[in-house]
Amino acid sequence: MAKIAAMPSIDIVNSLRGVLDFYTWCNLVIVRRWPKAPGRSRNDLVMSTAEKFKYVNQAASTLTDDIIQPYKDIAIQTGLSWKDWMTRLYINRDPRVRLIEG
Amino acid sequence: MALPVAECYIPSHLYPESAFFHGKCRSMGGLPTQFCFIYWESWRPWKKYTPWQDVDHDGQDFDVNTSGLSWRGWTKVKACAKNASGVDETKPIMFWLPKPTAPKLGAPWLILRQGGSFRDMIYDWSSETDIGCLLHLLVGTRKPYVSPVTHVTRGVVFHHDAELWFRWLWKILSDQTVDTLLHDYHIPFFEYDRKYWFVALGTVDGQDSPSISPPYSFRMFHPPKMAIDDAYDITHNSAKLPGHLVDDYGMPAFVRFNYGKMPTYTDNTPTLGPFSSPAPYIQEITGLDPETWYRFRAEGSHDEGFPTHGISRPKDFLTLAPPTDTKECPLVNPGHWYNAGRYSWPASWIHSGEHGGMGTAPYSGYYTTGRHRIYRSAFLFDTSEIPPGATPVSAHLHVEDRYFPILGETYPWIDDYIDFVAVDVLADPPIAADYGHLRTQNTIIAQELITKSYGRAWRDHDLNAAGLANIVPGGTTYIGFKGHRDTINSQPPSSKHWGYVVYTTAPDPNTKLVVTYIPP
Repeated sequence: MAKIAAMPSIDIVNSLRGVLDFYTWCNLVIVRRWPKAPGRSRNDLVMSTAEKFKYVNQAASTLTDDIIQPYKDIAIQTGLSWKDWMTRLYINRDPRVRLIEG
Repeated sequence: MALPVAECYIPSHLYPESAFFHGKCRSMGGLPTQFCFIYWESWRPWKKYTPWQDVDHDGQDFDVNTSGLSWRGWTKVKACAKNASGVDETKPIMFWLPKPTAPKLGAPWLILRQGGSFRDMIYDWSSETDIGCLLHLLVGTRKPYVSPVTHVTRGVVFHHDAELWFRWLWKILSDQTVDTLLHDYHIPFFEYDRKYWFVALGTVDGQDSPSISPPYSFRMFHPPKMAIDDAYDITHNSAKLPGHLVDDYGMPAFVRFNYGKMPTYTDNTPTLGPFSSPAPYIQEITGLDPETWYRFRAEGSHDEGFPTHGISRPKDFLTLAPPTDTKECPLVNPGHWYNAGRYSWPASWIHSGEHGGMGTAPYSGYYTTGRHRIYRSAFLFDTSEIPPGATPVSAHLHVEDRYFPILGETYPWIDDYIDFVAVDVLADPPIAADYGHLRTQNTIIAQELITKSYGRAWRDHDLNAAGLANIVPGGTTYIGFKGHRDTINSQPPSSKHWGYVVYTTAPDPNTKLVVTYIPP
C-alpha cells in the first residue's frame, strides 16, 4: 500500500503489470496490491471462524426485516454496518459487548 | 573452501504455537550444502533444529513453517548453513508469539424468527433459532448504549469500532429445559407505555455460546379508552350503536363494536378508523332477531388487528316486535272445488250449498263397487296483495264447515284428523284418486282433530310454520286438505267413515285466508 501524488490515467493503470487497486481515501490517492489468498493452510481457529463468518453472511440474506432491524438500530452512528454487528454478536462475545446487571 | 554465510530474517505469520522462519544462504566462495533453522522455546535451554535442507544454488531462500512453539515468553531463532569446510550460524533473533485467544465454548446460534403478543400485563415472546440451544432472556428497561470508538484525522472524526452496553434487570429462562429450536418466554410485569429491551444468551450442549441476540425492543402502548351511549333507532332487526374515544393516548385508534345476544359477544362490526377525534362513531347493525335482548360494547386499538384493545362498559338493548300487516285473501276457486268431480268430493254427494267435501273411511258398504275411495280437495287463495318478499308470521283459514258421520255412525266418534297440506304434494294434475294413489308425503300445514260431530259453523284453522312457508306473497296460494289416514299405498284403516264439508260458493268473500306478515 502506498500513497501517490495523483490518480494516474486509466491508460497508465491498464499498462501496469499485475493487478493494482487505485482509490481515493480522505482526499488521498492510494494504490495497493489486490488482496490474494495466502496460499497456505491457516490454523484451526482461523479456519473455524472463517466458516462461521461465511455461514452468518449467507444467513443474513435470508432473515426477515424484524430480525434485521435490531441490528440496524444499534449500528446507527457506530461506524459499523448492521452486518458487522450481526457477525460480531454471532461469533464473539468479546469485551466490546458488556452485559450489566442492575 | 570458505564457509557459507547464512542470513536470518524476522519470523512472520506468528501464531501462538507456530511461526514462519525466513532465511537465506550465500556462497561467499564456498557453496553451502545444507541449511536449517535453530530455535529455542522460551526458557527451555535446549535448542531444536528444523530439518536440514539441501542447497541448490547461491542466494537460495528458505521458508519453514514451524509448529510446536510456546507462546509463553520469548523465543529465538537463527539460521545455520554448512558445507565441507564447516558450519556458519547467524546471530539469534528474539521474537514473541501472540497470546492465544481463549477457545470459544459452545456453538454459535442465530435467531431466525421472532414474534410476541401481549396479554394481561404479560408479554409472550417466542423465537426460533437455527440450531438447538437453551436461551436465557435478559430483560431491561434502559435502551442499550452503543459507544463508538473514534479517532480524528485532519479534523475528521472516524468511527472504527463500537461498544455495546446492555443493562438488564431480569433474567428469564425459556419454557424449554433442553436444547431446542423453539423458545417461548413469558415476561411478566409489562406496563403500558414503557419500552422494554431484551437480548438472549444461550448455551449449546450445556456450554456457554459466544452468540448474543441483538437487542430487541418492545413497547406496549396504552390502548384507547372507549365509551358508549345507549343504542338508538332500534327496530325489530337493526339498531345504531354510538361510541366515542375518551382518550387515544396520543396515537390514532381503530374502533369497532362487539355485540351479540346476551350475555355473549358473537359478532364484530367492521373496523373504523384510524381516528383521533372524540366525535361519536356510529355503526348500524342489522340481521337481529326481533324481541331479543342484545349486548354491545366498543373496542379500540392502535393496531387494526386488535391485538391489544381498550373496551368500554357494555350496554343492553331490546329489539322491537316486528311491524306486521294483515291481509284477508279471498277464495278464488271458480265456483267449485278445484277440478270438481275428480279431485274432490263427488258431485252426487253435494247437495244444496255444499260444493265439496272429503272422507277417509272405506265406502265399501256404501258403494256397490266396493272401492275404497279417498277424496282430496284444494283451495286457491288470492295472496297477490301481500307484497313479494314479505314474511308471514301467522295465518288461518276462515271457513264455514262441518264434520259428520256417514251411514249412521254412532258415538263415540272415531279419532281422526283433517289435514291441510301443501298442494304441490297432491297429485298434479288432479286425478281420480283411490288408495292406489295415496300420498307419499305428508307435510301437514294445519290440522283439526275430529272427535265428534260438529255442526255447520264458521271456524278458523291456524297454519303452522310449514303452512306459512307455503304462502306465496304476490301470487296465488294453494292449500289442499285430505284425511289423515290418506297415507301411502294402503287401504285406509278403520271401518268407520265420516264426512267433512266446507260450505262455500266462489267467489266467496267470507271464505278467506287471513295472513299476518312482516313487510319486506
